[in-house]
Amino acid sequence: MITIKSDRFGELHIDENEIIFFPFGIPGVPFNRFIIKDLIGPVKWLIAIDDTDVAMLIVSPFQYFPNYGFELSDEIASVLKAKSEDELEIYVSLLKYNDEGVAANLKSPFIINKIKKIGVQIILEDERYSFKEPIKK
Amino acid sequence: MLILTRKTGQSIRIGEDIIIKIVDVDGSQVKVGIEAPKGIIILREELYEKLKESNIEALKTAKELKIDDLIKKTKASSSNSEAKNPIESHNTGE
Repeated sequence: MITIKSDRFGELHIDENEIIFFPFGIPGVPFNRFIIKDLIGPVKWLIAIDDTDVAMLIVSPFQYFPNYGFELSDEIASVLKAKSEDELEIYVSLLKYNDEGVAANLKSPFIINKIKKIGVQIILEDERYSFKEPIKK
Repeated sequence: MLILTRKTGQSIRIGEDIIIKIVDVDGSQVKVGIEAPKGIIILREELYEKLKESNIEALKTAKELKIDDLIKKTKASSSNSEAKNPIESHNTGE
């Protein structure tokens, strides 16, 4: 168990088995080891353990976009070392939308192998999905 | 930047295992075929840049967004988040 002191999260107790490794990193983010912590309801934190100031809000897309889906390529499945779909969790990041709302980046989901603790962020070719899809009330 | 001239059907090899082939040229459009080992991510540059911007924005959002606001906006609460979806479902299908 590692304890990290952070202004934002107070004391974070991290079990080493919780650490998710992103072999290709996350574009724009200079770290590749993260943890996921529950925030409220479906919303979770994705926190860089090497600098806890670097954190995103993520959510399962299916919560707000029930028809969301994509096909996982063999290449990505092999990077994730996924034996079955059950090992995988999908998240999308949350973004501010027009000052008042919240949007999700449906174009680039995070796929996490929750068993093997490997993560990738992919970009979907699917034109239906945008980098900023408003979550409607 | 190294600049090479190639004809349709010709290739460029980068290192041991990456081959870039000019498949077709039509006016200003060039169709490129890429052979690379598994585990190498190949992306259109402009998409990669957009993703980078989006991720930086997500970090900013997480800093600026007040948690109370977030609860209001996502209407997320541990009691009803699973059972019923309080947010109008958004059909991205059509």
